[in-house]
Amino acid sequence: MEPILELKNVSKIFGAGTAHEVPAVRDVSLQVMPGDSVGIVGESGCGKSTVARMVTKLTDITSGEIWFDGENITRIGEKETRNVYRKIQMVFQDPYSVFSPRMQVGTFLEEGLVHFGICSRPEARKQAAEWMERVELSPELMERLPHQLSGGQLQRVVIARAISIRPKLIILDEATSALDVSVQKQVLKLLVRLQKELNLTYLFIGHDLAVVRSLCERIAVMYAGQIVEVFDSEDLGHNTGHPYTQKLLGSVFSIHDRNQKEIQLETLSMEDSGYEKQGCVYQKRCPHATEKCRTEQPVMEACGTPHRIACWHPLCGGHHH
Amino acid sequence: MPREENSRVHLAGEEEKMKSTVKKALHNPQFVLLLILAVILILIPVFAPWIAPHDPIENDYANTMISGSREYLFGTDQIGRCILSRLIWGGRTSLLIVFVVVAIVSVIGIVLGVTAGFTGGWVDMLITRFTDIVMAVPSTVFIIALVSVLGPSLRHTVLAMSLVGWTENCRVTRALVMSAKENRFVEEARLGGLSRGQVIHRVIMPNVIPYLIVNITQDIGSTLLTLSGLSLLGLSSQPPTPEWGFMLSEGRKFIQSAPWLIIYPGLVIVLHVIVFNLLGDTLRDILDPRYEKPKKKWREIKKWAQEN
Repeated sequence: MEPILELKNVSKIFGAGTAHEVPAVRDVSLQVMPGDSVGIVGESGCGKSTVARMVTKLTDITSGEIWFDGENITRIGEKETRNVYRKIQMVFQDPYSVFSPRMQVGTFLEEGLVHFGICSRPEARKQAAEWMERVELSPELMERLPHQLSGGQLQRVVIARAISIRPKLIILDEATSALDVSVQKQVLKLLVRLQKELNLTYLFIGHDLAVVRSLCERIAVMYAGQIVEVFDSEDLGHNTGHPYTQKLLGSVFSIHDRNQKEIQLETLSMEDSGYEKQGCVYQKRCPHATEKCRTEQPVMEACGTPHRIACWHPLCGGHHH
Repeated sequence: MPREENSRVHLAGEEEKMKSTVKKALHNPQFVLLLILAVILILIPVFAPWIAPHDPIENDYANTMISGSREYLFGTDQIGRCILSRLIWGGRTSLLIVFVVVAIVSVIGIVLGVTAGFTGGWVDMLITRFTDIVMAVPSTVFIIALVSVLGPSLRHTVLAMSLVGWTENCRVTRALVMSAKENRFVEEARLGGLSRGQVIHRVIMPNVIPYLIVNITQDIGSTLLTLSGLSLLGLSSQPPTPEWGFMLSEGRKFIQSAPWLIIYPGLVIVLHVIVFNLLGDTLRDILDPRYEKPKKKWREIKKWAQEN
């Protein structure tokens, strides 16, 4: 089977060619199969959102290639971009910022349907109402303005709009991070249900490993602009080997681990953030770092499918050494 | 999907929105009052020939410098012209110039502002620098100099005021467009299948226009003040054409003996400035989508009044 989305050595350097180059994404390769749900997880600033924005053409790509649905979409014009949006939709983190404050919620839903030529205006109104029900919202809310709805309700509308276009890929960029924990759970359940019903493909960007794991079958861990490990979400914990994955796992909160787990505090300075000239990106924070880690950059290597890891000293009884 | 379909949809949505805004506006007593006042102020000079009791340039040498009588309600000036009639006719000149200047200035400012704000890059740089240069020239001095060179006439006044007046509009529009452009919902609209042009007029402009309307309304007041200043220096209309600022200028000489010569034109100018500025303020409140009807407040005030 052909992957629906493939990133080939994609990099993004902000301010390329100036004195203040910021390498946000470096040499990222990733495949998403149709019907899959892939998660990208990592801390703030690791470049995961930039990956999402490059796929949706909201941010230019510095080098590498992005293939979508058998086409190279790395550098395409405005018209082609619009065609791509028919097939890729994105859900942003903060639902409040997504709505024009002067546009009715229902109009927002209809717009996508009408502009992509999915149906006529009167039909769009009907379909929009159906989608409202599908995401467990009352169609009466369609006449409201965005500020009259709650964050959770708005995010459902955004999801409904993204899915109503019937795209081949939906990118969820921290789609539940701005919501209350209880609402977050409801929205996640909704996403899982919709994926089953409609056979959707998700690329979920998140910082919370537990959330990403609950939704995704495959997880890519990003650190300092690079993917350091890719694995099946079932393998998380017992068959994952990167020290950073371990670290993320250790920082997942749970109500059961009160007093049992010490919260590890770390002070990070700019030099520790992983933008190393040579060696492993994680060397400064890694408890297992050796001389090799400081001089040689670990390459992404397969250790089982789809498990791949970039580490000289993986914790899962690995293959390197 | 054919294009016609799109534009029809667009219109339907727009009409809906307009209706609710108009409804909201008509439920605001302050706005209705100010709107009625503004319309009256505009209609008075329009119907001057029927309203004015006298010919504004006719001299009545038997009644010069009277402070007010049954025949001359607001008195007469040094050569026996009816002040009230001159004020009514004067609105034709003053308001016409003001509206023409505001229209020109708004169009130039908005077109340049939208272009700069949306395009960015070197276009933005060019427009911004040009605006800065124009702004660096003291506008009053420039207008005075230009009108003096070209010769004082209404046309030259309009030209001079338009040449320097657009900068503020341009800067405000540019800033509004730029901040609207940065919004997530612009990206979301692109993902929703809107083209660049549609994004400008469907998503960015609806969030910019309300502020521009407010800005334009308030421009009316400030332009009137500038014009009055110029007239005071004798740089706009020429006698005997009645014009408020010029009336002030003429009456200045008699400030001790016949203060009504400047009091009435002064009051008229102040009244116009206040009405149009307040109208702008009220409009801003109404056009804000988060604005709620003041009904509740009224009720609270009434209740409070009854209790005390």
